[in-house]
Amino acid sequence: MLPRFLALGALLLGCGSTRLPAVAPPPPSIELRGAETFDYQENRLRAHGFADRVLYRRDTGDGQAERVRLTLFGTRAAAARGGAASVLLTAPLARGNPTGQDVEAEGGVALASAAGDRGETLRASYHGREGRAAGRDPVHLWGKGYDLHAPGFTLDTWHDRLDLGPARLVARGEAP
Amino acid sequence: MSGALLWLAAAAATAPPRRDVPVQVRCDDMVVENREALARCEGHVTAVRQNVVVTSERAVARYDDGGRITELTCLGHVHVIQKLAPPGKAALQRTADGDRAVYREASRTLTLTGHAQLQQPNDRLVGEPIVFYLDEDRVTAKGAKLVGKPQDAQQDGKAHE
Repeated sequence: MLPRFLALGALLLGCGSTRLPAVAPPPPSIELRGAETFDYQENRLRAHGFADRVLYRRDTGDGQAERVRLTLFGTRAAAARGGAASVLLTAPLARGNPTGQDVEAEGGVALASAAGDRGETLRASYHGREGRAAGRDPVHLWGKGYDLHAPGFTLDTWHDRLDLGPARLVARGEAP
Repeated sequence: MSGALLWLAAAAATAPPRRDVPVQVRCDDMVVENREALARCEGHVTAVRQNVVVTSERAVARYDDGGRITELTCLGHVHVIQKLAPPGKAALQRTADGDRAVYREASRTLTLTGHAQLQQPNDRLVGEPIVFYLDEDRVTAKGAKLVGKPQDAQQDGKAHE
């Protein structure tokens, strides 16, 4: 909401001026280095993010983050049933709009869970309003007992449901 | 002899059981339901474990915390092919069909039910459940009826090699 007010303010100031510039100046940006974010729900930390560099456009609200590391902490219910305590997502570059809750990560997105699961794909997107993450590039997931390849994925984060399309799974047998 | 166990050809191979054998699963659409620790496979399902190939219309795989399949249930036009290569003999195969097949990792068995039938090079058996003991390379069929071989037709529940 803040960028919209700033844009409105700038527009009003511009209308009051007697001299209008021939070409609008480039929108001011905010650059953050070593940006860190914490997302809490009540007292519980849901996510911790870190990026080496963040650029933010005030006029559109679009942002870009470089060398992103995002840790998602498991829910209490997941922990209670022995689920993953946390998942680390990394990407060289992420673009998105915080107001739209849409993020595109690219350059090689990697996943690592505390339970030992790993994943890799070239690009992935996250759409917060729908609770959906998706990727159209080949995805490779592997863990202690499996190795899985698929041409893409759609993850419904609200229901913890992962649609992989035509997939190839190799599950190892009983642990020796 | 209804209800009798019909013991079928145990292959000559007596290799020791292998503990860590991968299971490969392919399908047109795989959906992982993490909360239920299962994966649903739809369309052209193919599961391969060593010398056994199972095809079906759909399947549900249950997995443990490490992602290892503990149980794989194949449903709809289930077809099983087991290739046998007895030492010093020509390679053979037995096939089986049914409505449902359940692979259990703990016992390394594949249990076929629902209009189940088994075809071997010289005979055909109808009966269920048909159980493949994958590590031992043997098959049992409960209450099976031997069909498809004129001289042996109507032999019910007798041991057969």
